[in-house]
Amino acid sequence: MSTVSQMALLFIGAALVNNILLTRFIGLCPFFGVSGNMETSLGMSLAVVFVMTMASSATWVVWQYVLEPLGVGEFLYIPAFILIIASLVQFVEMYLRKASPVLYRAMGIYLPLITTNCAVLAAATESAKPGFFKLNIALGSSLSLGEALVYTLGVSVGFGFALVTFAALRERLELAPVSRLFKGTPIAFITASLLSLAYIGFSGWFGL
Amino acid sequence: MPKSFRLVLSVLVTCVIAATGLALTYGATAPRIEEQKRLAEQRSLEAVMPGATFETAGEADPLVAAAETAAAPVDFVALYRAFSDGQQVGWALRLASRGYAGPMQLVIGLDTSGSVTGVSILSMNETPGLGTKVKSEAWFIEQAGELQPGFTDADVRGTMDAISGATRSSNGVRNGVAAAGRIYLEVLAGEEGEAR
Amino acid sequence: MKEWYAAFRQGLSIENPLTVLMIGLCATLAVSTQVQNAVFMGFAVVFVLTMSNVIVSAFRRQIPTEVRIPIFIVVIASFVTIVDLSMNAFVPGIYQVLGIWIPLIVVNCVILGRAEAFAYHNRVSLSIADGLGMGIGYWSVIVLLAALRELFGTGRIVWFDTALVQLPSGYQPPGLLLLFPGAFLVFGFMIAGSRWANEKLEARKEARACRP
Repeated sequence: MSTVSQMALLFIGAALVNNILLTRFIGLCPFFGVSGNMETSLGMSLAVVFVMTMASSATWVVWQYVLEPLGVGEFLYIPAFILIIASLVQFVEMYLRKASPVLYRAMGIYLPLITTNCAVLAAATESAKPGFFKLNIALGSSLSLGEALVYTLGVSVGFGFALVTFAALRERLELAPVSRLFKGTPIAFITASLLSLAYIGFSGWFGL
Repeated sequence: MPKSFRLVLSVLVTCVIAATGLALTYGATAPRIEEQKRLAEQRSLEAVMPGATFETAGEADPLVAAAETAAAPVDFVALYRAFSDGQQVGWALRLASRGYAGPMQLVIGLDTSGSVTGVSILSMNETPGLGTKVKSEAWFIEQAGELQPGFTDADVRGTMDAISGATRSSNGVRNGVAAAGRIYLEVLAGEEGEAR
Repeated sequence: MKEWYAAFRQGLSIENPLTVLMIGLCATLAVSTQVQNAVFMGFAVVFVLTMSNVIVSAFRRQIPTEVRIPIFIVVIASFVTIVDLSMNAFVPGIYQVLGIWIPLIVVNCVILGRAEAFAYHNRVSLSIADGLGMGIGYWSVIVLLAALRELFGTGRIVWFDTALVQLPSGYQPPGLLLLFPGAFLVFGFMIAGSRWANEKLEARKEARACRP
């Protein structure tokens, strides 16, 4: 298999077949939290793509050159990764506020929320030590930095796609006649159930 | 700047204390984790071939490389020779086959004629209550025992019925058994009869 | 003592399971396929929550406000790792199923939220009460969800290979409930059910109040 098609498979596998939100149940807090309207969900998706890709490269480097060689990875990776993500988010926020007010307005307020987003931690852990979260069974036992980047990009784009789709559905639901008891969150969960049922249809694509 | 110094210091102290605590915990639990892993593997080996003693084939063993090729696309993990009263009675194979939700670690016992003596699922991530039926419904795995010596992929498909509602998990096990058949035909059959 | 009970009770009050649940959603939905798994996951959360509350509360005067979040995170992550390693060593069977969810307890917003909102401002004994109360509240919801899914998804509830409850054999369990979509579905109905129960309670309270 050529490298390009391998990368494409890695991307599709991460984005659709093993969609982190709807087939792996990771990162659900923002999925329900910010999917109330289209605009916020777009901002959140953008922020997640941005932070996840950076976080994964950072954890990959730290795992490969610090934790693994020192032999402390097995028990220090959780605190180390979460600290990396938290400080990264802080820096990105400070930098954006100064450097790019436009971008900051688009996704600034979602950045602090991302620190406690399991999806970022999961994707970052997965690209540093693949196979752990079983996010993508097509992954080998270790990834190159390039593969890790493509993989994370796939995960975050899949995250954004699912989030925006769900937000669109929820906007329509606002106008739908729903029983009083089910209005709001309960019907959102039932919609999510149907959406995730649809994602099961992706399983088995390209043998992923 | 005493203020910022205090801030950095407090974070550092927390990190150092945490790291030390974790290192101690790891030191205390690591041997036990290893031991549990070894025990689980031992139990699986016992289950597929009761009463035998096992010897792991090392990395350098030519059979290992050949078995790896024969097993593809299923991942080969380890090969064990099984002895009883100093006589080789068969092999056990540890394979990682893809189920519905990630790899399933299978241990498959083969006797010297090439029939399956038993299959044991060492670990899996299948959906509890659904994919895990491959383990809880004993008839499924027992079907492997009906395979004739020297069975092929087609025989596995013909003999072992999948569990309804757990098709992909069943396929994981069936692919594993089929890989064991291939390894026997292509690699192990030649070694048959070699005395220790 | 009265204060202690109030703190405990506040966490426990399941007047609105949403507040308990929406913040620890991922793990809740994912491990709730089996009562047995849910019970252990709940214990892990109770332990981490209570211990991190204790530590944060005990050192609340030493932790500078500016860097409190990183410190909380390190404390929580350490307890999570301790749970992770000990479960792997002592209950390997359970760890096999829960293994991937344990590290994600770190980002369970309940824990950071309690450290920040309660433990950082209150004394140790009250923080223990809060941790236990919140933890047990979370535990009971996750176990209830698992019980519903396991009972109706497989037709029985199993605890370490023995069936506790068994539906009549004529019941054809829909496997869907055990898959991911089933979790959302059952949870949606659970929230609607709790709303219904709340409304009934309120109505009864009002009726009693109106009576002379």
